[in-house]
Amino acid sequence: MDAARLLAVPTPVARGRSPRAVADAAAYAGADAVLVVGPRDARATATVRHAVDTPVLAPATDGQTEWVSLETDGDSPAPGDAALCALPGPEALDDALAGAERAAPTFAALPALAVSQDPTRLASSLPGATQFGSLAAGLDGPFVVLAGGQPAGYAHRWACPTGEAGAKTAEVAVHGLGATDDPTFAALVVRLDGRVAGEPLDPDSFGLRAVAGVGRTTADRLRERGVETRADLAATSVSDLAAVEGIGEATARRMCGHVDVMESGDPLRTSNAALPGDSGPTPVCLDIETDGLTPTIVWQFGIYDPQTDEYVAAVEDEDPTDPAPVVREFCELLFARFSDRPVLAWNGDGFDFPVVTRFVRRHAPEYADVWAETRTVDLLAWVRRHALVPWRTNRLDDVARALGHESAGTGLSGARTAAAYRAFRAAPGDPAAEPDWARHRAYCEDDCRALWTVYEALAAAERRAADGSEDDRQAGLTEFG
Amino acid sequence: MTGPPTGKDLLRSFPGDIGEASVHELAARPAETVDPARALRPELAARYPHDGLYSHQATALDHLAAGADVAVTTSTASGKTDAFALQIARNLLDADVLRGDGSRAGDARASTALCVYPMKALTGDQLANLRGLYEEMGLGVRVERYDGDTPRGDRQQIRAEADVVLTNPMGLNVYLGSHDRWAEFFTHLDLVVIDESHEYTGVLGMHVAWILRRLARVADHWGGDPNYVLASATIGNPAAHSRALTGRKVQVVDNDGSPRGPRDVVLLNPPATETGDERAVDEPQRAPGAGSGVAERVPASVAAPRVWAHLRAQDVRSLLFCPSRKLTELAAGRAEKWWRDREYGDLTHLRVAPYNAGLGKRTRRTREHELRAGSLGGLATTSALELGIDVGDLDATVLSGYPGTRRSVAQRFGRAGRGERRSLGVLVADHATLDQYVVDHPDFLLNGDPEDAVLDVANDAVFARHVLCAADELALTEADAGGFADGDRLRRAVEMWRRVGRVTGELAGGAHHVGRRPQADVDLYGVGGEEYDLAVVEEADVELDLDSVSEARVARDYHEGAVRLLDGRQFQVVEVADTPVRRVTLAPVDVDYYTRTLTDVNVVDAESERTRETNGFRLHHGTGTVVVHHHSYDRVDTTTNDPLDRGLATDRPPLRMETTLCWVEVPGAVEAELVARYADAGTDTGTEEDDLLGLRELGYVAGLHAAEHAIIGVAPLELLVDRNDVGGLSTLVLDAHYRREEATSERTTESMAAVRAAVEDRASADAEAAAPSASGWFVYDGVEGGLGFSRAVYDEFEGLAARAADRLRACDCGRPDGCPACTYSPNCGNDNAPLLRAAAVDVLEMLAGEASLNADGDRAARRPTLFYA
Repeated sequence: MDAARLLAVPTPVARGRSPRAVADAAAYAGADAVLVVGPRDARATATVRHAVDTPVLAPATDGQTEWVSLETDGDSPAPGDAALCALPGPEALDDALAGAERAAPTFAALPALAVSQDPTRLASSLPGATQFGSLAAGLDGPFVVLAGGQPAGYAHRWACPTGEAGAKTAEVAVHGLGATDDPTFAALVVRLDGRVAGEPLDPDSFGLRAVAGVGRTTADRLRERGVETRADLAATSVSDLAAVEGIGEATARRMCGHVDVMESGDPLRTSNAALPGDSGPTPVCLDIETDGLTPTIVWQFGIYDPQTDEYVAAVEDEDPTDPAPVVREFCELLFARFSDRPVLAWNGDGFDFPVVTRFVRRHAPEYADVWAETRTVDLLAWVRRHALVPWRTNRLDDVARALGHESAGTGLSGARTAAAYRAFRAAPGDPAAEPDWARHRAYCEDDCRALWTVYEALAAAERRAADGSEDDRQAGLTEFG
Repeated sequence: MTGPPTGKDLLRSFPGDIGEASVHELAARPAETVDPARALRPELAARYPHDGLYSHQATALDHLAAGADVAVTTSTASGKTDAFALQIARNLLDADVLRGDGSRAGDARASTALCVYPMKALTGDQLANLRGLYEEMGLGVRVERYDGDTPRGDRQQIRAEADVVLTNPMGLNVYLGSHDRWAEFFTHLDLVVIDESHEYTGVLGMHVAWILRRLARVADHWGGDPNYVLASATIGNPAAHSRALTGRKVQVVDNDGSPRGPRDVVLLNPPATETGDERAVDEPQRAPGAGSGVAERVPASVAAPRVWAHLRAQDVRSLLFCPSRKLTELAAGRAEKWWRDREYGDLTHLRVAPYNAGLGKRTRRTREHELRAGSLGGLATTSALELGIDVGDLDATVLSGYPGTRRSVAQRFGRAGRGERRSLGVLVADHATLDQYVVDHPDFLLNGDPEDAVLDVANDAVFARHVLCAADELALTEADAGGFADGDRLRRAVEMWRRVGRVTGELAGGAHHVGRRPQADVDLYGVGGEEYDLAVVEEADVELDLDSVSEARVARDYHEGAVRLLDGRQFQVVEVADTPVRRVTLAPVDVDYYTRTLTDVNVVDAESERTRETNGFRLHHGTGTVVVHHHSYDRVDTTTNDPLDRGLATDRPPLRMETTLCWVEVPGAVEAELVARYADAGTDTGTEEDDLLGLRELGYVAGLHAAEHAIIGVAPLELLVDRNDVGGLSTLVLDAHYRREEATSERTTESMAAVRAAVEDRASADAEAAAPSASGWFVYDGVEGGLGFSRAVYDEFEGLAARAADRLRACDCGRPDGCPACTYSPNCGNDNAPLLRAAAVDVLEMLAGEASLNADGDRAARRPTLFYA
């Protein structure tokens, strides 16, 4: 085993939920251990302990540090084992690790740790930085901090003072566990070399509430009637469901449909709305890479043509300061070779299409009109309106993986490619900052192909209008997890 | 009747004692106009519906034609709107959107303008004005309003088609977040108009300044390169204020060419109190009875409705401006009662009514209409009718109390006597510092330089919010260092957000915002920090549209037990919850008391950043930590103003504020002389505490305390400042409040006792070391991160000291410790004691260079640690 999977559960999330939902999330995350984070809450902690069989780490009221080995079963890891500990605060660190001659990575989870901010002085600081710094300097293996109060997906390398002469600092990686004002589950993969990847999981995507049409109130009402799990729900008839207050016939049908989908793993089309390409020209798949969420450049436009199984891309790998040439190259590619084809993108309405519109208008205005006339289809938006799907997050790689897409394994993400490009631009001409272009091209191509996998699964999916009618406008029931 | 009575007529005809009055006859000012053809091209000049352009309109248009930005700062109703409306028309003609005959050349847009108004009510009014003007001129200009009230279904079309968009800063802050949708509008943006720009001071001003800088970035991104027009009431510093607001150098246009009819201004100081006067909840505090002199007068809220009723009885169409909603309602009732009591006969046809924002839209529209149409002869109004809204031709205005600024007086008087009509303006003074200063100094009111609008963009907490928004709108890069903001400051802000996880990347490669949209978190009236929701208990079944309030407001005004007036109804705070959500719960009540919060203040870790000497006094400006504890409250009888219960605990912790402040060190010789001079002041200071009465420094420190109050009290005479945004602390041990190697605030600010102990420790250590400390007082900005007021006070200290000394000398209360019209502060944390007027006058006169000491004296090394807010 070279990595362990963790799930962090903020107490405010656990409070409002059944143990089943927590268990569902832990199963989804493939968690080897579960961390309880956020403000101390005995009831929430009990919910979590009740929900899972894996080790649950929650800082004890007596201030004792809990340990688990990430390599062997057991709660007293050997110095050579990568290990995870949970402690109430940085002040407990010295006791916990005093004299520990740990040679393997140590992951320290601090359930309430949050970066403290002082906007009046434009300063921010990491509580416990001095402890972290001196420990990191003293341990042989990497020392990683998991901060309860930082958002899931947060990652920052802090320069922490080691307390040694000469004001030395040690870099300590800090990752977030999701117990913020807007708490989420956090799924983490911790590698035994000390690297960590984390992402938020929407608490409403698990347990009964993962089912379309089940909100907090409905979940409570179902529970009162003994319907506690999705399996229970699957065993309930539409008419029995429709008898529950607040659930109409159509909603009941939709719930049942969604439970089937989640059990089988196969998507279901809930309306007769056409997918682009059901008739007419086959769409092409578009993915763009930018330098961040508020792009100053779109430096890669990838287009995949499923008809010919061909992938083409426009990439700016020379002058990162001029966004215009790559936009024009993209326009020429698209309009010369795929002029009559609809353009498909995942979350296109939320990101890709407006970004392309903006860059075309700004840097290739001669194409603005043709682009405006091009049919664009956001497949995620389409799914929200016209399908029930088994997946729990809307991230394209999660979705495609669930549908059997084999990832190219570039190890990249949108955020990483953006960061790489920023580094390239910050240090032009520095070979060390030059991205591995082949890898980034492969990443973009992989996303385009993943999108096609999803498209095909939807095209092949069974159709069942939610209320049995032919009217595709009925599918405006968009609540789903 | 055809016009209002003259000021003299009013005094002659008023039945009974009107008090002390002075009448000032302001001559008419003729219009100064130029031929429109001189400033405008023929096709516009021929269409302009007035005989001439006022000289200031022509000057502004000339500057704009030359490519300059302008700040037009002229009187109310002087036609500022026409100046920018004509510039917009010129731009549209230049861009071939309009043909020479005024028709549109097509649907294309090629020149756009954005007009920003501080209030929605004003936007509506201006929309009608602009459309009216263009219609009259036969110009096909598309003017639209776009704000929170714009129906969703209309928005897309307005973004795509309007030439001119009218909005407000709050809206603009949000719309910048989706600038893509406005791409074409920004590409063609030629003019940005900021109307009523003097409104943007203090916290609101700082936010607007950053919103405008964000706007400039976004416009630049899309290729827009607009000019700016700022339209402002008369202020003392239009160039500096406009520069601070927009970051641009502007041409000031102040050659007001609009006409004004003759106006009589009457300044009234009501007679000394009769017994049995009615009082309202929010009328000023009374001074305890004084032996001689006038320590109390009929409040303006009683005297002003009488004057108004008398004018109304002669059918003079008029407005009465009142300081609160509640008082507008009381005033209408009092006017009617006064008619009845004096047997004026049946005056029901002279109907008057209250007008305020609490009344609901429909009622307000009806009353505006009735006033225009003449079926109502007068309204008692809050400031709601000060700006914009058309209420027709009026003959007189009566002001219940000095509204705080001369600008506001001018604006309110300006509501009567449109064009060249004769008008009457009456200001009825309250028994409060500013009011009394104003009636004592008519020249100050009528001829003095206008106040400075204070705007400072140095507050980093506000800056940081807008950095996040800017990073969301367009990634921040090196190009923004020096442009959007100072490079070093911008880098520090980006680094802070990066560490918190709200920004990825740095300026070098581009810094991008991540996470939920930051624009929605901008509160134009706050500086960030924790906010509490307000809710009414469910059982009450009351619908109130309530904003959230800051932690500081909760501590002062919304602690458990506090009684608040909301929408004219009494509510009591029944619970303040900090977890899981921050919430203040209110219950409707009907009680005969209001609550008054008592406050303890201290200053620690003051650090001087600039300093200067004046008349031997050393002035400082810098940063420090202010610890404020609203520890307890009194219940005060609504009718008698007598305390019913005292010292009830608020159960709120002290608040700690990193802010900017200024302070003055009194020279040792002055201190020694004044300590000796007032060594026997004793109970004259208003204190009866035995351990204080034994101190020979009591008189002196009471003088410092009074001087501190007086300086803050008169600050609004020079600066557009809300006295609630400024606080003070006078102290005998100034040095003990300074920052030393180990900061005091890092360990002591949890409790006021600890803060006091820390200061006392330092004072006694200094005394041991025979290191003489200075005495003096602090003036601080009462907002985290500062507002710029203390900086302005630092710059204007001598002028303020002279005005403060003047007021203290002139007050005829006859009390050594003063009264609400001179030494008292409604925000005093020490219940307005000890205070000593004479000692304050001495110290202020010396500071202002009006008096000096001959004797030499040394500072005493050992002194009691006394300090007062």
